[in-house]
Amino acid sequence: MRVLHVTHQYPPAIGGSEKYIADLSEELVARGHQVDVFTSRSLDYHTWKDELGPRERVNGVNVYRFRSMRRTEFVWRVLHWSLGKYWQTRSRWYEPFILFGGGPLCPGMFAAMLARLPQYDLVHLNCLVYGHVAYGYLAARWRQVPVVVTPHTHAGQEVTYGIGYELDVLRGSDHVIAVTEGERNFLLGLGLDPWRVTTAGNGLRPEAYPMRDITACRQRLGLPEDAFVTLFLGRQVEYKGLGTALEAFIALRRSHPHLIFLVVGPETDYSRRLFARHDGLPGVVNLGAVSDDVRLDALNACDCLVLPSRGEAFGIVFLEAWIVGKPVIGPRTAAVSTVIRDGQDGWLVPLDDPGAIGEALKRWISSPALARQMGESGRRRVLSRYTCSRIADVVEGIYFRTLRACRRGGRAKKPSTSSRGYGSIRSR
Amino acid sequence: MKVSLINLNLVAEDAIGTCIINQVHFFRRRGDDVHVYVLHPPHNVPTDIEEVTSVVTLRELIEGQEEHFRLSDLYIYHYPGRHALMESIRGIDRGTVIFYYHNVTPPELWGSDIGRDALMRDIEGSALVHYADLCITPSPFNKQDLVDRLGYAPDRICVLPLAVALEQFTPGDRDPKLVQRYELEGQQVLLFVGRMAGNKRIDILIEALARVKSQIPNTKLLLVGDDRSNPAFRPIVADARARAAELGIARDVIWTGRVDELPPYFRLADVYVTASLHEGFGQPLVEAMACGVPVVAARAGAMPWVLGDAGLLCEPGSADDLAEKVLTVLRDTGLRQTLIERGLERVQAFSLERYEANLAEIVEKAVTHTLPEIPPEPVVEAGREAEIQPAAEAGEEAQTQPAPVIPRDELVLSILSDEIMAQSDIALRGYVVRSRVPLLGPFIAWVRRNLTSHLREPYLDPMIERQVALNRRMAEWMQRAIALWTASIQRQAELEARVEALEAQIEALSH
Repeated sequence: MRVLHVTHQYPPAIGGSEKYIADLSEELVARGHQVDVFTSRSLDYHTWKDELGPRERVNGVNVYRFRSMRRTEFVWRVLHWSLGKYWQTRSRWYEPFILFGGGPLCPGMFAAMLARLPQYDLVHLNCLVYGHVAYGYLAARWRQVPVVVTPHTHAGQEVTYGIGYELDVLRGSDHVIAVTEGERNFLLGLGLDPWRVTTAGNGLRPEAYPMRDITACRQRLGLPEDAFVTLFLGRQVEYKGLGTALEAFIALRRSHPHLIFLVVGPETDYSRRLFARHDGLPGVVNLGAVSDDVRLDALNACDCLVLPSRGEAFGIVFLEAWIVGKPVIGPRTAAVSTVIRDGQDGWLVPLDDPGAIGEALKRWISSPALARQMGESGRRRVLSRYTCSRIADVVEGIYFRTLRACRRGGRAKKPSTSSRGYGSIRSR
Repeated sequence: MKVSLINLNLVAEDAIGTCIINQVHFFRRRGDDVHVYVLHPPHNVPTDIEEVTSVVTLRELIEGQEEHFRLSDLYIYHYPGRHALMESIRGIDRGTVIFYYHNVTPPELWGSDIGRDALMRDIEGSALVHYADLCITPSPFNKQDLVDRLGYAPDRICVLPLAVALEQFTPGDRDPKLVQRYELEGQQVLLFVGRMAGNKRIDILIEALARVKSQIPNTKLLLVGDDRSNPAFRPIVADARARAAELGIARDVIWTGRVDELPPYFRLADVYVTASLHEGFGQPLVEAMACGVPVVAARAGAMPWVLGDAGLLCEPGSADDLAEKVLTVLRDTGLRQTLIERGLERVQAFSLERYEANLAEIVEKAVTHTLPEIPPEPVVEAGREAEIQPAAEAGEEAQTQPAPVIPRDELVLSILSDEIMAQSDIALRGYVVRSRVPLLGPFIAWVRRNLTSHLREPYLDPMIERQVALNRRMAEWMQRAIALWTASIQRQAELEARVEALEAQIEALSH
């Protein structure tokens, strides 16, 4: 099959949706499909500054990068003004301004799509919130190529995901891929046909997360061998629930002096202020931003992961903890509730409830076997369901289903014999 | 409609083979053109089924050498485990694809290292379900397995219990020949039917037999099923035999191997027992109930659901609990009778008629590409077995259906409905194009007649199909409206009659 992935950014740009599309592209190439990627040259969605070259081949994926209009202060102001006006009036006149302000605006990409789309069996648009989805969708419709979209919507952020053209893309696409069951429910709530919305999940590569000796990892990080280490992994921002986790730790530390709170992730003004308030607090180890190797050490060195975040669309960090056999504590939100099975591979706690986190931690402190068992259960779950290979199974299946559906409706050509997916049989 | 059924093999005696044969008959009766594709030659199947069965390789399927397969409108892939033909599911670029999931034994329950890798592959291979438009599976247990393990959307999975030939599996007397052959005269017989795989836990049945015999000495265990075709079974059977000898009950455990005709064996039994730790459905349970044999089964897999409150459940892995439940059934004739009666009612949910009605609904929705409503499942909650309810209540729940709205004049309604449905289909040969715009109707008719197929297929036919779909929906709405209208007229008449009666009553009272 020949597939075109259209995304706002592609690695080396950092981000969850960037990683998602890159892993997926590489996995599909490994299965014998031809995958090309159209994206911007940017590494930073704040500015859309052109920093990367026009073309490269990454692990078999052809990546074409197009120049985009810079997002200057003026463009940001247009975005804020139009969003404000749009939600006040619900008038579709403001949508072009939102598109302009959101970016990345790549006329070259649009032209290239119009010219080259007939070569592809299917277009997969990634990350609904950015403008490339709107004109990518338009081009695909003009050239009558089936469209699949992975919107990465957050159920709680309708302000960003409820713009008219975004809903048009969702409703008009041939298939929509949700990352969690919670997101699928949200999309169905928008009136999408359940037949056309599938949950694919998110995945990681197990080989990138080897199990390491816990003692050696603790030695390298300077942590006591006999401590109970609770890990917070992520950007140290308010919405990730850092304050709540810290509060739970402080309350529990009084009765459990061997407790350690290990924080890993880029620091922010918020976290500096937070830790300044608790200056000299024993048991807190803040490593800040670290290399992948140290991150892996931290995951292996801890006893459990705590991330009571308010804004996780999926929470891939839970998978990272599980894959090294650690149980997790996560928020009881729509999205995360469908990832963590409460009481089986972790605990779900109400938002902003340090008491509940403390209770959950106490159960593991008093019964390390329970913690190990839940971690192991999580590991099994990741291996069976949340690997890149599994996600590619689902997405590949969606592509074929979409092509069949489009052919039934007369909107897709027959894929060429060489590209019908049998390559993957031989490659396995 | 052209239908292709795909499976590893076609063996008349096994559950999947029976299921495929039922499906062939079902599609034939509908007037569909059905064909079965298997990797291994069919075994023991009727001639009419053999005629429509082809032994093929994956290459033959994917290279389009099988014309029927290439041009099918509906593909049903049976998944008993990963087999080569399954891979063709990836390349189906037309029609509708259904994945029929029969469950796979978890390798950790297999009880032998032989074949464990194959089971791992079978488990892995079930991810092929993602290539299907829809999945059918025989029990909610399997459905949950797909949802938990693969994240498959629950609303794409239809639970369709397997059909059992209730006309063959009926209560009856013991066959004297079998009684003589196995020396069962005056014996209480515990029966198990199934292959002797590790997950079936034959060892627990033998332990339980020893405990039962300590209370009721004249008891025998009859093990019916394949014990040698798979090398993995041999050590399990050998260990079980050794354990029986150790317990001094070797003569009381009878191994029959595979048998041709099952019903006489069920009729030999006083109790059907199983300690299996994993069953995707458990067809022998239904067959036992149909033969009027009370069932004691482990609370595992789909068995609690299949039994409902028509059998006793025991703790998985516990020979003591199993023996205790068996003794209860053997001693308490009232309970035994209750279980038999409930079983006989329960099996009606697994009749061929019900299976076909539900399959028809699923197929109809699948080919029109709307998500099917899950057909009614014969659900009785698991765990209710401990509190045995009076026999009269059993099965009533499953039988209860909302009363349909009966229109006053059904004949008029049905004629009207048929007419609307007929008119809705503009793709039909006799359809006349009507338009108020001058010349447009004749022009469309001319285009339809004369446009060459390479232009008509991609451009005109999809438009017509969409229009037909819309018309049908409209026709359905109109039918519903007519039904409501006639029902309301009937209700109005009833109310008017009631008002008149009340007025008469008031008048009589006032006088």
